[in-house]
Amino acid sequence: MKGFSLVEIIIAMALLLVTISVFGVAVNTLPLTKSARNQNIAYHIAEKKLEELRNTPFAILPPGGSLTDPDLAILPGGTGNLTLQDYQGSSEIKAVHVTVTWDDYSGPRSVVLDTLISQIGLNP
Amino acid sequence: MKTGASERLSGFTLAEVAVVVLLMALIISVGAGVLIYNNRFYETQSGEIFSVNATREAADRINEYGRQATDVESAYTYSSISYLTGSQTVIFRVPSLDINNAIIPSSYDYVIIGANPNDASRLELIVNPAAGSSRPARNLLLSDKLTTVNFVYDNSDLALARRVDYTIHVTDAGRSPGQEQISGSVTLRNK
Repeated sequence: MKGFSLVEIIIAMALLLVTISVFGVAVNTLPLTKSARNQNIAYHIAEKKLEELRNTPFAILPPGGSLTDPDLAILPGGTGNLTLQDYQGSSEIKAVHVTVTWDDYSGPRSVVLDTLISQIGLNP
Repeated sequence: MKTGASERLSGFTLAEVAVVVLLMALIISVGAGVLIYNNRFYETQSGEIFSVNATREAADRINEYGRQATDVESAYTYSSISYLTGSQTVIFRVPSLDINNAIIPSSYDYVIIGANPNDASRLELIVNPAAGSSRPARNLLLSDKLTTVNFVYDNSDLALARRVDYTIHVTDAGRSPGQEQISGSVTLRNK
């Protein structure tokens, strides 16, 4: 009686491994796709906030704090933060930072949009 | 010449055939399972990627053309389809640009973004430049899996509208569909 030779078993196992690893490569793209999707949402939340600030009269710009946006609920652990500071000590220009943070598979990630808003700029 | 009984012994026994059939059934079912799962996975993934692309492209184009626009146009006919500005579609009237990117006085290009009036699942972007305008013409189908699109104007009189808020939701393919929802706001800076 003759069983399988070592070479035959090795080839069979190699084929099995290749099949499984090819499938594994496809599965690896899942977190990347999710991450791109969340980044897209986060970016547009931040952009929406900037557009809102552009439409706010300079004198009544908010002091900063956390963001409220219905789309934050779509993001896993989504939170937003807004800071406004006098730019280089000038009270006529504000440096604005909008940060939207969410939980990615590798930890927290965030999108930050910065702009300067001045008293004689776009704002009404 | 055949030697009779000893030759017939070299065939397969019933047990061997049964084991082989069983093993083949096992391998085929596992292989088919992997294939089906992989295919569904691929559909979900590509659906999600398409949805993200379509919503991002639409939102960014609304922002881009909205900022350049002088007005929200209430109605416009493009390739014999009549588009109406409303909750499903927005039409921007944008000043034409010459080859040096200078504004051509009283000449306007029209930009249509939103659902096709004849098929609400098609999210379209149409740029129809006036003769002599250097703005490139576009007629893009951003997605044919549009779930909802909603435009809200800050003034019910469209001629006075200065701000457009939008929500775009695309759901693409499959049993566990990929989807994306984006909302935003654009102000007509050239109003």
